[in-house]
Amino acid sequence: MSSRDEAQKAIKTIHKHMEHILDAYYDNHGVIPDTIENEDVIRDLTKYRLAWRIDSYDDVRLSRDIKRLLDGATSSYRRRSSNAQISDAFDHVKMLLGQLSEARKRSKERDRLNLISEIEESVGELIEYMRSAIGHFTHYITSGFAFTNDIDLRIAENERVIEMASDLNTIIEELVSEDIYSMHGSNSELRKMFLNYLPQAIIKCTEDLNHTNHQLRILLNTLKQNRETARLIDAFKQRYINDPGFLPSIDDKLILPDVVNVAEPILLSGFADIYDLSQEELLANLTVGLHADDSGSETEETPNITVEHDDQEEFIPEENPTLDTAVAVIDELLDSDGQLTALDVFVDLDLDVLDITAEEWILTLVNQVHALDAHDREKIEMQFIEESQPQYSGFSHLYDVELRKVQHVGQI
Amino acid sequence: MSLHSENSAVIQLLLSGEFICEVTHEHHYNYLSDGQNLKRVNEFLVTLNRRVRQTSDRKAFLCAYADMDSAEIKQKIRGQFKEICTDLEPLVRWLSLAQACQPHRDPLRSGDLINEVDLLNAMNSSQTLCDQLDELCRRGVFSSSAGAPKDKLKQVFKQLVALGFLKNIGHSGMQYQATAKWSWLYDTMDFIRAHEDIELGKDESLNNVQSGLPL
Repeated sequence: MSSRDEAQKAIKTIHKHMEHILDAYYDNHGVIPDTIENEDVIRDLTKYRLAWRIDSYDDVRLSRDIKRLLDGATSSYRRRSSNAQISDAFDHVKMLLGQLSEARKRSKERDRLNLISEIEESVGELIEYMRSAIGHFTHYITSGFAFTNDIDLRIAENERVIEMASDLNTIIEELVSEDIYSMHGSNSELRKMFLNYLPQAIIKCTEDLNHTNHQLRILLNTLKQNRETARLIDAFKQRYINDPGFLPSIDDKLILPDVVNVAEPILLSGFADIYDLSQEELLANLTVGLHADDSGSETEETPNITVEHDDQEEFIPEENPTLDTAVAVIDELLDSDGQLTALDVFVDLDLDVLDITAEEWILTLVNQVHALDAHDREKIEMQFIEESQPQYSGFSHLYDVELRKVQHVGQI
Repeated sequence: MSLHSENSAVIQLLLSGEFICEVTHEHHYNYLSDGQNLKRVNEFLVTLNRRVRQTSDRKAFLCAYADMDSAEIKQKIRGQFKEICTDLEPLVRWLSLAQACQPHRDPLRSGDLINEVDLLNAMNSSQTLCDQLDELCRRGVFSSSAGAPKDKLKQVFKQLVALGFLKNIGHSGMQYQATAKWSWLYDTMDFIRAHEDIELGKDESLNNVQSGLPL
């Protein structure tokens, strides 16, 4: 017979005895009672190694393969019943330990070895169930109960999971209360299992569960806050729809609550003292590298600095022929309808005799135009003649300025 | 940063009206979270009739008056409250819009990340959301003459950053993080709700408890 046929028959056997298998799996810790009614079931299942027994007097158990198959197929159910699973697994270990003790009394060495092997495997399963149950809670935390958009359902699910975690905690506490350290019963093979592996696993699971529980409660708190805030936003939105122009007021409140207490900002800006040499020096350092805006408009915003003198002495300005010349040139322009350029004037009037450079002359002339009163100032249009410096991006070389008397409509 | 300069920086921020939270000023927030430092800052501020207070969720520190009893201070607070209330309707509209664009409809909270592109995508797939954006930009603090939703949204984000509700993060200029100024706004809204007797919607959880939720 081919292996395919064998496999087909094994599956058919599972199907044929489905109800017995399920009863054993769900209700009897995987045990099929050795009764006359179950004779056929036991015979068929053991034939395909789907069930086994220690000796002819013992009950028959579902094989590990069948249990794994059902575990895998019903993972969703298992998650819900993981607490019961841990509890059952621990009861199963205790039952096996009882059988081991009996086997020792009867000096049945083969049974004893089989049971030790079975106990090791069952304790391993118990540890795995505990880890799996806690890992399942971690899944809830990372997902944030994101399976639904409905915040109320998320809160309800979160509360339910906290309850499950609490139940699991109770079960683990029960394990701790059992004297697991003495369960090995002087069996050297089981000593490591009950003195090391199981206690360590329980301690680790307890720690993880505490952390998980804390996280779940934080998540629940956040969800509840979100629900309250969402309701608050909705309530305001509805109010604005129902009452357009709604404007809350606290004018009627004599004692103001802390929640509206927000202090008016205080402007914290400092001004340098230009009469303090140290501050002047700092300012000078700050201005290194700055350049004037090439539009030339900023010169118009230069503040007028008024110097107040404490004494009553009359302030006598020093003589400045360059300044006088600039004033005269501007007066002449205002009286005429023409135009001029600073460089032309510099050349025509031989202003180098004043021991100034052309640049200084242009600057003086520009300053004087800006110093005019508003009425005269608006009569003169000033245009800088400059060219950009390709090697210094953003810089322009100013080499002349053109002044023109503005022809107002009324004057034409 | 030395303790003195840290103290000075925190005080300057508070006096200038800034909200200090983990998103905007993480370092200063941690500094103020230490009771000793908070005491030191308050000792200085009290000389200016100021003190530090926190939002109810403790996510933001802000500057408040130490003594609110004088008529002048009360007048200032009332004036500020009026200003808040003027901007409140558009802010509520924005919160509702942002919430509708979120996958889980969660309200905006401090630390939440918002991607302009995500909102734009949500709007492109929903005319209702587009209409809400149009309404939002029609008047008030978010008013915009832009035509395309993209430009309107950009304007809204710009304004929210200027108001201190969002912080621009990353290099794309399209990612934002919500600041704890929202916590302050929620506190204010909760006070207004109680003061103006605004009714909250029905608590669905009570119904669920009564009917028994399927597990």
